[in-house]
Amino acid sequence: MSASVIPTPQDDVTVEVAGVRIGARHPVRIIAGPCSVEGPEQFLETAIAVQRAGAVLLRGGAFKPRTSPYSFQGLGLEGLRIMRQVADRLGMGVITEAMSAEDVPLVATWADMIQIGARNMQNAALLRAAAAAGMPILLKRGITATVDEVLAAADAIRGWGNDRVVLCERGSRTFEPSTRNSLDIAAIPDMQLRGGLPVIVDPSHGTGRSDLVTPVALAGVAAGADGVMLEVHPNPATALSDGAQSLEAGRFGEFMRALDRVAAAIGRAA
Amino acid sequence: MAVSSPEPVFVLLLDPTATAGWEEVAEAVGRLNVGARPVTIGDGWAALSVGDGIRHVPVEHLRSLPSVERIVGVPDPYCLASRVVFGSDRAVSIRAEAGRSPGEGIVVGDGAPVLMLAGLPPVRRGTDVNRLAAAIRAAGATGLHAGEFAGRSRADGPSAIGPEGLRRARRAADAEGLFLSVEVSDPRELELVVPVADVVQAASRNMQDFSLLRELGRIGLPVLLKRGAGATVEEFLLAAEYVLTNGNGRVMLCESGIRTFDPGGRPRFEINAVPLLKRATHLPILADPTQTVASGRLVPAVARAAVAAGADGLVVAVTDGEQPAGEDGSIDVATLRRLVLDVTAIAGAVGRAPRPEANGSRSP
Repeated sequence: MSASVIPTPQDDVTVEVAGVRIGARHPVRIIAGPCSVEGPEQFLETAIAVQRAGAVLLRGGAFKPRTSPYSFQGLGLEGLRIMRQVADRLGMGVITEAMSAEDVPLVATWADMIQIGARNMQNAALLRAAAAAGMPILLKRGITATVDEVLAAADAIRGWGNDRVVLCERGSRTFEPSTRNSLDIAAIPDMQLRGGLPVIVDPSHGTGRSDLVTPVALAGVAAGADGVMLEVHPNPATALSDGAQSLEAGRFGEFMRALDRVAAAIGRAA
Repeated sequence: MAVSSPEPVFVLLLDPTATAGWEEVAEAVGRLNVGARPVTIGDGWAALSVGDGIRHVPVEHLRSLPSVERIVGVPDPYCLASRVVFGSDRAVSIRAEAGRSPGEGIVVGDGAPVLMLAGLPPVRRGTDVNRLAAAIRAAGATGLHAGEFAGRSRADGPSAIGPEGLRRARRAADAEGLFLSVEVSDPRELELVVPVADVVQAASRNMQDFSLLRELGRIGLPVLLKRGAGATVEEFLLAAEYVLTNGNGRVMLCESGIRTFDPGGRPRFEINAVPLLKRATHLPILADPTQTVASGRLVPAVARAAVAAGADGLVVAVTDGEQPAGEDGSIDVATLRRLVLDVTAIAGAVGRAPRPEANGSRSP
């Protein structure tokens, strides 16, 4: 898929997901939930905790893109059903990843926003299917994608008739061994200015370490991110995926208070 | 993050006022170390490292020496720089005599108000430095970076200032109460720069110029080290250790971008490095987004982010007004003023001292 002409900056776009408006004119939106949906109790407990603390959208993984074929691959359709049930009970929307074009109809049925994962940013068939589903799309920056390539992927989706796209900066691999990825903070304002789309930040993947998630999340807010997506788990030590970067559900309120202070300082508080 | 040494290295914290007793300690330590090490003098603290992490060194007998306040075992290879030594941030004082307690001069780190070091982009010389100094001071800057010094040791290029430019910068800084920072790449230039500057900077490309780092350890001025574009955080801390172990505890570290796959080789500002460094060391951590952005329009967002993540200060390039802002990552004075206001608000939100400068002295 070739990079198309980068669009000139447009007026600030708002993307609405399950009644939540994401964009420059709106408060910073917090999207939170476990990396993987492991069961109904785990997802409900996490969802209640994050909603109480101020999250407005839920995330969770049903189809998991694991590096190893032996790792937990997700609950699939059952995971989607659990998420829908909990989301409806709490009156919230849910975002989840579709890993292939075949998954898209199922995800479109059960969720409110389709996530395109970092390893799939240039999966044209998937992008096209997601565009055709007419749902809002969360496009994660590819693991070695340049900003130009992200904007080209977004451009392709819009070209296929769907402009409800939110971009996500989630870091990329560099030579620094102490973190999983290196979050590109400058990409947040860069993609906003050049792409004219809302941009959210994912400090969980962007650092890979729960002790760095808070400062980098605050940094993302201060940089002007339109939202922050976080992995949260009731007991990260027992998580089936990404426990090392997950925030503990019981301490999420504390995290949100710190985030609210920074959002208020830059005039993006709810 | 750091691979622990098989044997601990020890840091002796000395009574910073009892200098008469230091020689005795240095002699006793010299018998344990391979080679003599000078006492490292910071602002309000003094220390000596013992051991190399490989050989076992007995240190208990050192406790009885009168100047020794405490002995700390450090698992990190960068022992004097390690946060374990103090268990907290330490401040650095600029424009104050070396070794005195922070609170005099301009204080950076340990919760002090965010330091704002503003400089001219290197290509533009012959600017009215006095006018610019006044403008950045009014906008809220605390320091003026004069650029790279190139005196006798190489031909002056368009990106460097010579002795006359240095003198003009000194006068401008004095007129405005700003501290003066100068970049040095050749140790032989320190002789000319140290009497005139308040802070000596080492550029990213020189981060592992170990001869330079040793010399920076021997000067009595605070040093600002820029991270190399290919350096891991641990390598950066070890570069700081070179300066510290040669006697100078007044070191500030500055994240200024790392090389990635991005086209053109532009460094990426690594926001993760700010909290990583804060967790690893007691030294103040600064952020310089200048080289990491295609346009100065992106500088404020990155600078705000760094402060939200815990940075103790910012380094920005300010355009002199004769050229449009935005080229080579520079911002104009109006943008600087707004940035100072934004950063002050964010600093307050993450628990830093408010401006005007609070008394920065903290008891150890």
